[in-house]
Amino acid sequence: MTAAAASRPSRNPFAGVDRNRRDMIIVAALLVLVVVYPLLFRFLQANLGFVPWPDTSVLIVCATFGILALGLNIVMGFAGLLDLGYVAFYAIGAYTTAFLASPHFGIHISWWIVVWVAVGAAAVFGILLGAPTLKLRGDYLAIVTLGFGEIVPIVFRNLGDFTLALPAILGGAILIGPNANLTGGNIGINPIDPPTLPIPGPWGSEIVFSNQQPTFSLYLVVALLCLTFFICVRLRDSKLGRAWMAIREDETAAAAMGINTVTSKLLAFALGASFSGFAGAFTGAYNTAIFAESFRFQTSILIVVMIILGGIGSLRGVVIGAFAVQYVNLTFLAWAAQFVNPPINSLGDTTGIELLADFNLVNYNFLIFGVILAVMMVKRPEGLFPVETARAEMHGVGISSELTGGGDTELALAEESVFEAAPDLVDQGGDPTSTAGSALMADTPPDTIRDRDLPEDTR
Amino acid sequence: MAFSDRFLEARWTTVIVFSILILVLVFRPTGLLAEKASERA
Repeated sequence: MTAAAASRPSRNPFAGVDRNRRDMIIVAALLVLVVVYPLLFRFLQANLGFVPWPDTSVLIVCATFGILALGLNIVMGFAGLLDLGYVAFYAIGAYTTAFLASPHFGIHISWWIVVWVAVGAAAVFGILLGAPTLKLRGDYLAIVTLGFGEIVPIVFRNLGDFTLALPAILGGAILIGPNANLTGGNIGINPIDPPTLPIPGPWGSEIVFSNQQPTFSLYLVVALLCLTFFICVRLRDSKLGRAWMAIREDETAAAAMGINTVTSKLLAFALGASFSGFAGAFTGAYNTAIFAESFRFQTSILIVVMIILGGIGSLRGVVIGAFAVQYVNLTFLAWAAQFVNPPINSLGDTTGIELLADFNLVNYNFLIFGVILAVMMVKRPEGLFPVETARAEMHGVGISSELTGGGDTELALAEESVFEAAPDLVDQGGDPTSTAGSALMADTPPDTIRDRDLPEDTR
Repeated sequence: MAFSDRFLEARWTTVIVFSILILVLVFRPTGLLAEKASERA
């Protein structure tokens, strides 16, 4: 690792700077960028309009999914539990907010309180899902979580119009209903009270964090993202975080070493779910409306794509993955479509092929993510900004020097191109104290690590 | 027409199906007719 870092000194603008200090500089720069971005966007749009700049509302969605990706990263990246139904907790957080802060039930509790209720509700459901599935691993766990992720949005949709009655044999008395409306069904719950702060200014008598005032909403969601990120960093370095990583690597061995795997896995589910509830509470209040349609299986998959793309287990990576995927999804494809669509459509018109005549690049977003993932699994399975242990596991220790020496030039070239694309971000060298396995790796000859059996769970 | 439609409306079918799947996997992780129970890895 140190040898690899030393071999690229010239391209790293932070060479020789203390890592913590460098991270602080990067974070501060990013925060300043966020603060000025709503103003900067108008300037960029006017003067450099040929580049598809994301507008503020796109950045808000990006940051929301950053929170979701960080939460899923706890479950999948740290504890190694494959969760394909993560969107369920997002829905639970959003609906909790809608129940407690909307005219739907006539309850209007301040969002600043409701958000913690939503976090708690999501955590409770995380434990409810986690407890019965403790003995399941790998693909079996994936199926159960997938089923849970399918059930929850459908239940929320169906509870818009339902009647709970005793069976006819017991008298058929109606317990709830008839035709009770708990969740608004397909119409959803609209409106929801947005978060407000009683600070008067040019914007009115109070700040409203809704999509009517995207600038303030951006500041709020970035603050929430920073809070989530900070908690995740502390969790990763905590005793619990190291227990999760030990479970991820080998659950049986972790249990034999005295780790309470039951508590650790339940906490992973609960904490992962609570961040999802956090994001859900913000989304519901920011959009001032929620619909069961927005919590489909696709959304779960999108979050999984984000963390795999960014580098599973890497906090920096999954946030960048979330921003990248949502930026492509919401801004880039629409921008690229105006160049790609017309020639394909006219080709379809002349040849009479309907598929081409109706072609719209935006509708092919999941195909594009699928291709990107497939290519990534071949070229860079550990993600764009991986943690050091994942990279070492996939390629052998000391990535660039080892690989060029090892003769696998294709992978080395892929490495190099990414280093060139974002040298300051990729050249982290990893945090040796952050991961459970790195101390072990440092003392093990590279060949042993490369040849050992990799764990078969989803890394 | 799904069997559960006799008791519940058809829009609940997916919920019933996945609930049964989850319950089976939780209580009989090796499947309904597994010869011997071993921990699924």
